[in-house]
Amino acid sequence: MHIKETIKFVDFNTFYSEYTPLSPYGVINKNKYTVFTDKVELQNRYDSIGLVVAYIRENSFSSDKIKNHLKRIALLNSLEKKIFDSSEIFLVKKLLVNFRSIDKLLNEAVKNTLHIKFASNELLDFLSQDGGNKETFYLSASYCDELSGNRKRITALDKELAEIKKERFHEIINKHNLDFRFRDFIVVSESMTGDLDCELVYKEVYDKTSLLVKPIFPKKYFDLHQKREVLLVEEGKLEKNVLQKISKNILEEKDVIKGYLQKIELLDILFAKATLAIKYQMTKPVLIGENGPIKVVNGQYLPLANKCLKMETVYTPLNAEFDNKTCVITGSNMGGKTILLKTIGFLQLLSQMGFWVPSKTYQTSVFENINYIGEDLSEKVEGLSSFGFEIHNLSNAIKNFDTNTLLLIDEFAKTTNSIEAKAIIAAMLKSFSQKENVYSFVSTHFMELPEFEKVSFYKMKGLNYSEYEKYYNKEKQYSLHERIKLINTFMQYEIIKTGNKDRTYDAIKIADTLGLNEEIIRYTKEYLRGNYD
Amino acid sequence: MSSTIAEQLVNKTTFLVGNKKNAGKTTFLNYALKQVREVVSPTFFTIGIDGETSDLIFETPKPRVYTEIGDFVVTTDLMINKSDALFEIIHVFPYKTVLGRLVLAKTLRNGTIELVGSEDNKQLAEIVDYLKDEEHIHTIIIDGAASRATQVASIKNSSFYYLIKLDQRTINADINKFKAIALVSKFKCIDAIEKVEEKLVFELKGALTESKLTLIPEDCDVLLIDDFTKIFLTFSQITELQRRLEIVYKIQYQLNSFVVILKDIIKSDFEKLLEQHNIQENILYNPYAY
Repeated sequence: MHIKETIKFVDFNTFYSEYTPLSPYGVINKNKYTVFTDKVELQNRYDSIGLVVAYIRENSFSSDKIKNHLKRIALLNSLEKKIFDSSEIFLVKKLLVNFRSIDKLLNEAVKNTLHIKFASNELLDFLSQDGGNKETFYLSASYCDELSGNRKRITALDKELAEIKKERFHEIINKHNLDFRFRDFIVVSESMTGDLDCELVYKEVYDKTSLLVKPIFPKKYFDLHQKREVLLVEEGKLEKNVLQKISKNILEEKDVIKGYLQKIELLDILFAKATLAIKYQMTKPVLIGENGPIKVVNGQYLPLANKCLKMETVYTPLNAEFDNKTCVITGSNMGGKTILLKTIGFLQLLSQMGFWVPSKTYQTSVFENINYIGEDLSEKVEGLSSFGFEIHNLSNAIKNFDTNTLLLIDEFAKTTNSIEAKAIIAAMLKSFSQKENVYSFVSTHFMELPEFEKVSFYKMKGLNYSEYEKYYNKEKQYSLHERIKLINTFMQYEIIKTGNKDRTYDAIKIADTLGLNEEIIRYTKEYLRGNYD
Repeated sequence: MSSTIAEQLVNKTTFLVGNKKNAGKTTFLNYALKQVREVVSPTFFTIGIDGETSDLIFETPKPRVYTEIGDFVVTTDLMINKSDALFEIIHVFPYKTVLGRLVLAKTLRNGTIELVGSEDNKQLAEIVDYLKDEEHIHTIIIDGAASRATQVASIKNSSFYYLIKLDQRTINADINKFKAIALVSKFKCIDAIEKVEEKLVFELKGALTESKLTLIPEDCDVLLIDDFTKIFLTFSQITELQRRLEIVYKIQYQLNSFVVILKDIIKSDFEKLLEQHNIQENILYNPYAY
């Protein structure tokens, strides 16, 4: 489903950025913006969120622990290989440690519903030799006796080498007062190097006046180093055998591990969605058949509601039941027509992306297509005007009218001549109302559109002018910000059902409030009264 | 001297920044690590991939980095597998380099390790955050890339050593750069400016270059820039600018010391040069010099 434009129109990412899965698998899932069109699948997802919401509410401490475990899980490299290196084994071990902890923390209700069961204790124990149940991994010598013997020999040699070094440093300090304990070499003035013992230190030119001096170690030191090199090569071979042995055990459980990854992804997104559901007091969307009406009770458009909260202004949630599938929304400028469309788009996207919704009730259908048609929100397509862009998008949307489609049409054709624009909108309404699969919300300023069967007309209540007039002081010099705030204060963002003949004349009042020149306001009013010369 | 270095490094995030490639950063890293180990197990890593194979100062093969039991190292899985030391993998970072995926490893057996790091400052900051927040590691030493100090800006409250190799052949250019760095490293953070609200502050986004000087309003009292790495002016251009305004940073830095490595220059001659140029900086001379 193509939802890019709708996502932009409803400013969905403002909300989506609050949706924070914690594991890399959850994050990958989030970035896919998956929209579901299967009603049963969606119902299952809503129910699963319900289970997790209940779990979080009853087990807040364990929930925090689960979130911490999800956060600790890292992205595995491919499991499709024959031999893993230490860091890849570490990742598998870390996954198992955290998944087992999650399994222990979850209750039976969640585990049974989501089919979560950790069954890799044996493998985890095998990966935990010498390391207990820590997440870290170390290619322990306990995997192989030969490796153990080899490493003991290396450690013994290291001790001997350190002793020789220490003795030689001591000798050099005593004889020449040069301290190599913290330095690999020392730069000494040439004039001071005459007496240096060539058996103890090696000299080379550093610059015109200085020499670079390094300690010389006895032959035994180099012999031991050679032995160490041989042992290191042997260690490498033995480690490879151990890696093969461990890899074989992991590969035997490859499919089980892949199953864990799927469960982690699912659990992670459910926890992230449930956390938002609790934060915003969300409810399960009510999915009905394709012909049912969309109904919203206290539906919140969160990008705006949060902004209002921040600005300490009142936000009015949406309450409406749309009895027909073709809905025309009229109303004044700044009256909330576009916000209504955005609210429906936002709630619908949430519903079909498997979220709960910030609404007391949101009753809707599942749509195969959710289209926004209106102002171009992206970069302009070369050669395509604003009207051209709308027509292009409408034409594309119409191609999918054989499947269930939601159209959000915001002030269509506002950039073309009003007579033809109104005619096209009338034609659209007639056409849409005859399509069984199409649910459309059309916001417009055009009044007195023709009446069609199965087309409902709504209007935003608009400015409460009587209250506004009591407050507004003509003499006072308001700033633009104050004027906008005034409009917001007295604007009634409620929707009411009207007929096609309803007229709204808020534009002049709003222009007046925004400070338009009095002469123009007066002429406008005269023109409308027919007294205009 | 050694106790001073350890004191400066313990419980801090410290960058080693050089004025050019092979300024002796890795040699200094080994030296500093030995000092720190006397107090605490250090964590160290590098920025990017060092393609050099030899140290031009000492004209010796590129120094190897020694790691000892208890140290924490950030490098790639490939380098861990190649090392003669033995490691426990503590964490695998979600960042890949051409030489493998970055890991945090704890040293279980002494040896040498080749360091490979991320060049991305955001990733660098995330690695440091991880070390501090998740592993509670607080002594971090980062071998920074040569001629670039932008990494220092990516970590809040970090300090740095500025290693300068001075060669007789390039002494004039080097001393001028030294002077400029010494000057800009002393500018304050905006939080430390008194009555800043009464001053006209102009914030310049991005680099402060010669061409951007004209953007600065004549009546401005304070010029705010992100950090000292954004200044691309000569010493004389900076002093000229300072005559009419104060330059301040958004981020606070701490320059521990300049580490000066002299080649074909006698220390006393260099000290005279410092006097001539009125440079009175805290200088740590080549710690390898006797």
